[in-house]
Amino acid sequence: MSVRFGTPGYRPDHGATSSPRPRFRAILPILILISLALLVLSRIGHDSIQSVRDRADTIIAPVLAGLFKPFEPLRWAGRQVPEMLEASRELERIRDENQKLKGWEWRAKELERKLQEVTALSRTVRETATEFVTARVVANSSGAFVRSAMINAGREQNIRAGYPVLSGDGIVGRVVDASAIAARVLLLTDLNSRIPVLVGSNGTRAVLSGDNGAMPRLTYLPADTPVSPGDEVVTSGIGGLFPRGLRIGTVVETHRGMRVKPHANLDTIEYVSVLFYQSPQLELTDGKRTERSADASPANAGSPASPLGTSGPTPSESQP
Amino acid sequence: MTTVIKIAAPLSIVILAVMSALPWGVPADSRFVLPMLPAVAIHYWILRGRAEAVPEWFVFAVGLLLDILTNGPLGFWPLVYLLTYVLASVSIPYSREGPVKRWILMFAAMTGVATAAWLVTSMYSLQLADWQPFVWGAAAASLSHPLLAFLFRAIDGRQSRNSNVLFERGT
Repeated sequence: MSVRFGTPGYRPDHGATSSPRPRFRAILPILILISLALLVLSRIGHDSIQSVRDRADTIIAPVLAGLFKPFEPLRWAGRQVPEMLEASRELERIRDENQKLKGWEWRAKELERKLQEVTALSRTVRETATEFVTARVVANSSGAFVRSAMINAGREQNIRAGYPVLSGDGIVGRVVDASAIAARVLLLTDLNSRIPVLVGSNGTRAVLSGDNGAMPRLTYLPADTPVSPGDEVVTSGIGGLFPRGLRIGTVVETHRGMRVKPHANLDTIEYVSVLFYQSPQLELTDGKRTERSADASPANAGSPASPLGTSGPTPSESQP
Repeated sequence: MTTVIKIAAPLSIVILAVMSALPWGVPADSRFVLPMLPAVAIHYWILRGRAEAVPEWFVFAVGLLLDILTNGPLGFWPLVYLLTYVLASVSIPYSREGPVKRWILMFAAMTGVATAAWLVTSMYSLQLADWQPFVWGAAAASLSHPLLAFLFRAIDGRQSRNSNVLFERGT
């Protein structure tokens, strides 16, 4: 089938040497139908789609990391311009903040001393330190559907779906998918992101829900709970995927109501840390993938549950 | 069509597609413009009569690549780019009246593509998607057209002129 159209004898300027008249060949509607079928399969979350993504991520992640290297100076320059424009205002703000922090430092030391005394008295079991690995962001989502990032570390670095991801400023999101050498991070602004949180000094429980906007909203807040701009939002640890007390952001008032402005700048993140946080919930989120990984690689069969198992290479972990 | 065009046309589209997935630090709300740039390139090359260098399967493949890179639902960008391909193809007979007319055609195509993308997004999410990123994407893509067209023309124009010289001598 070949449907020709266009002005006979038409020749675009600069004289393209080939026939300028395009044809709508039979392949076009076929490709459109395939696109629609893929969309439907993606919507229902078909396993084959996930499998394709896994394989593709393994190939693409190192390529993207290499491709971006020549553009690093450009990115650096792009970041410097707004920073320079904001420099004087930022300096003033840091001076004010420094004054306040000096007061807090004294108070923190005092509280730390008291905490040590109370801990010694109560014989509380010490929390074990959580290991982490730092990885580089090699790709961002650009579409209207998801807010995610690809990092250049995966199952070979013992990363599993469900692990929390942080930048230096606070929570960024969590790992939703990990292939051998790359992983996908669902940002906390994504439509599907739900994080149980504590709001303000009262520790009011709520759920931080992303909506693909820059600032996620607080849902399931108890009625007549006073939430005011400036309240700190931290993870509550409920649900088990995130440890308690990780910084997320502060409450701000916008024209769309109270929102949470993340401390981490999700648009410019370069490096993130993936916490190897062990939780029974991980078996729910990552159990299926673990089985698949174990099947695919006999070397990993003995250590799917241990992120710091001996089968994989040792990541560059240290104490957070 | 020269070998240079056969390579340059698809390569420019692939480069723009890969670049739109790289982490540039662009705010999330404004990032929708980046995947629209390959659509601008597809529109440009089709309108210039280079459909042989940018066949349908290639447009589909680039869209699929972008879906994988950006972790979006598979099939979305192939659909958007194929729509761009169709709109550009039907615009060819009207594209002879200078760069302004071509820019208007491109703007109309980007408006149609962004509207279709918004509809598909809304249907996929089963809720009305925020329209602002799509409007911003279409507007910014249209504004970027003169710059991209200038760059592409530097390749395309030179190659075509060389071909014309040979043709004239032949006659």
